[in-house]
Parts: sequence; C-alpha cells; structure tokens
Amino acid sequence: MDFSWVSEFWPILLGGLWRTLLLLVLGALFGFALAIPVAVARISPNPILYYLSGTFTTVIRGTPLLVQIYILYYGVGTLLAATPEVRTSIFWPYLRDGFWYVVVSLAISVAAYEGELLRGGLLSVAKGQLEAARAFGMSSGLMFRRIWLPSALRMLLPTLVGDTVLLLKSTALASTVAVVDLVGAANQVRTHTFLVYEPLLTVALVYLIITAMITSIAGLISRRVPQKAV
Amino acid sequence: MKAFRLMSQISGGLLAIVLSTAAVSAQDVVRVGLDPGPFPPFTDKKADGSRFGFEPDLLASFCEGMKVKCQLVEITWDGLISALNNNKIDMIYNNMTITEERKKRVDFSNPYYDTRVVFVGPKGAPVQPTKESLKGKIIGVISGSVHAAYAQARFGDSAEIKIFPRQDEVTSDLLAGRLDLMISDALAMEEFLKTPEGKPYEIKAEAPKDPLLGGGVGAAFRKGDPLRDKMNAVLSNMVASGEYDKIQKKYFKVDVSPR
Repeated sequence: MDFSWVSEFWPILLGGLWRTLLLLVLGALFGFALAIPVAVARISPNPILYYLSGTFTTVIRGTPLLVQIYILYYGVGTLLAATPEVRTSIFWPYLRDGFWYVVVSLAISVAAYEGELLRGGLLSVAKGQLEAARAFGMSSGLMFRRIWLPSALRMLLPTLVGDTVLLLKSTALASTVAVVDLVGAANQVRTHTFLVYEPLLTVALVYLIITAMITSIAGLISRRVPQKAV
Repeated sequence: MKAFRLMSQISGGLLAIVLSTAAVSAQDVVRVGLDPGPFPPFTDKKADGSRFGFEPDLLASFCEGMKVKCQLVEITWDGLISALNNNKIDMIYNNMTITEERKKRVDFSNPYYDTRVVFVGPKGAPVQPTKESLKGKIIGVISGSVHAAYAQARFGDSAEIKIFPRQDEVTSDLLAGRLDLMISDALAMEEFLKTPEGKPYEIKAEAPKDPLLGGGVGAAFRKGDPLRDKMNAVLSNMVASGEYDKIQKKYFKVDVSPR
C-alpha cells in the first residue's frame, strides 16, 4: 500500500468531499421538499392529481438513476445549450455545469421514492388522531402540519435514514458527467498515479464515515422526538 | 454438508476450466485490452459492434506477424494498466502514448504511430496554449490520457479542466457549449472537424512539445514480457516491407509512421 500521493492530492480529495456533501444535502433538501406534495397528491381524492403523481413515481422509480442523469445532462442539457437565449442568460454558468443536473436528478429521484414512502406513512397514521385534531377545531392545513405529517415522519424515520444513506451512494454517479465528487477525485488520483486500491479504499472509508455521521445524527433526532404510543 | 459438497464440486469444475484456458492462453492466445469507446479514425465500431479503423487493421497484421490469436477484451481506458498488471489482459493496444510515468508500470513497444496534440474550439477568437490565454476557460479531456495530465499540469490553476471517460462524451459537451475547448489527438480532431457537427469548430492551437505529451503511441506489455520484442520485430518488418504504409494510406493523408 502506497499512500504517498495523499500529500500531493489532498486538495482534490477535499474538494471532492465538499461536492459529495453538497450533492447529498441539496438532493435530500429539494427531494424531501418535493416528496411532500407528491405524497399528498398520491392520497388526493382528485383523480388528475392521483394519476399524475402515480405516473411520476412509477416512471422515476422504474428507470435507472444513471439513465435519468444522462437524459438530463446529454439530452435536456444539450437542447438548452442550443437555445441562444439560454446561452446568454445569467443562468448559463449553472446550466453548463454537470453538478446542477445531478442535483436535479437526485431531487427528482428522492421525490419519487420518498413521496411513495410518505404516502404509506400518511395512510397509516391512526384515524383517531386526525379525528381528534378536527374535533379540536384545527383546519386541514394546520392538522396536516402539526399532527399528520409529523406522526408519519416519526414513524418513517428509520426508513428515511436508510434512504439518505442510499442517496449518499447515488451521488457517486455524478462522476460520470465530469463532476469531481469523491469518486471523481479518486479517479483523478488513479489516472495520475496508476494506483487502484489506495485511492478507492480511501474514498470508501470517507463514505463509511459520512454514513456513520448520518446514522448518528438520526439517532440524536429520534431520541429527542419521543415516539408516543399510538 | 450436501451444500458444501456441491459447492466444492462446482469450484473444482471452475478451477479445471480456468486452468485449461490458462494453459491455452499461455501458448497462442493474446488477450488484447482496449477501451469500448470509439476514437475515429483510429478505431471505430460498426452497428454490429465489430471494429474498423487504422488500429484494428494494424492489429490484424501484428497478430498475424507474431503468429498468435488475438482476443479483444474491452476494458475502460483508465483501468487498462491495472488490468494488464493483474494479468487480465496480455497487451494494451489503444492509442496509448508512451510516457515516463507509464513506463514505470509497463513495458512499451516501439511507437507504432505518432501524431500531434491540438486544442479545438468554436471558430472565432484565437487561443494560445498558455496559462494567460486559457484563463477561466473550461477544457475537456479524456480521463487518464496524456492530454488530461498535460492540461492539469500546465493549465490546471488558470483554466477549469473537465475530465470525461470517453472522447465522444468530451465532444458532445463541446457541442453542447459546456466546454470552451477540448484537447485531443490531431488526427481524431481533424476527423471530427470534417463531420457536419464539427463545422462551427476549428483547431485553435497546437500543443508545443512537452514531456507530459510523451513520444508516440505504443503497445504496452507487462514488465519483462518477451511478447514486446516479438511485436517490435513485426513492426519493423512491416515498416520495411511497405505493409505499414499500405495500411496507413487507407486512413490518413499525412504520414503517421513513427520517426
């Protein structure tokens, strides 16, 4: 094992770590935010909303994330680039960077998976709780925010943690569209040093550490939010 | 217990298969490692997956001359050297430029072709291959290529270097306007500029001589493998007999034979 390259390449690795964390946080943030309307639409009595959201989750969950990233980056991205208005706009510096295409792909994927999960969670909240909330004169919006969504989220917490770890590992796909995340950084080290195991084992260890951090943060949250007997 | 016995039978059978293929490959089958991606005019693929181009033609002659059966093994470009040293392949034959850094890990044949390295970008404003001229530019290269090593070492602190697994991905990002320039092999770039998509682009500059860009393209072998000397002998025979010229004239107007 030869780790002498670390002294030369650590800035690349650090930049990769930063980009991986950013992909994880932005993907989770936008993804979970989108998952709520998706879940609500999935249990909505409105047939249009119901079928639209159903199609969305089926399509996204039924196709590989890598294919989605490629469609966005090489497909939609190329169309955008062919439009002069886009190319001269202030958004162009973002639109030409693979990073944001990966963020959008991750967010859409999270929205579909967690939307479907949240739908199940919402449906399994005890009816009595919701009726009690209504009996107290809560509006539907207030009831959703204060009772329904929190109860569902608390129930789903272990699954959400597992899915966040999965999301972390999905961010590695960013390296396929020239984003230098942790894997991209390891690839750069590999091409310079021709070493295989050392850079890959190093980033594997970093992924493990991030995973441990996610689970311990989740542990803290679940201890602070006691699960009430239903 | 039963499961264990079954497992040991299966693994015993597998071992026998592995041993028998190893015995054959040691004699006359040479596993030639190359990247699955196209890189015209050097190597390209037909719709059915079969290869054509300068390198496949040349390879056929090499294998015939070495009196071996060549078996193509597709391995992603940046994994070729490790695959060779881990004995997954016996020879790398994939536009690999001979560099000092690579020589530490593999033995190269004599160069079998030599070309220039160029910068390609949209027609218009001129570009110099200098840090000042490339400041803030986004430059695309292939992962693990001499072009990547060169771009990062010489311009990495003033330009943004984007690294892609394959040339067709670099090209499509240039077409999408997400790259300002790409650095690659001159002949491959001339081929691209001849296509309808390549119309709005031009060669902006030629890279000056640089040790990072190496000296010619050679086949790579494991350290100490006698196959290399066999290949060198075949190569010099082909150049002397005019067979090399016949093959290169099929693809290039300029002379690419190594000097």
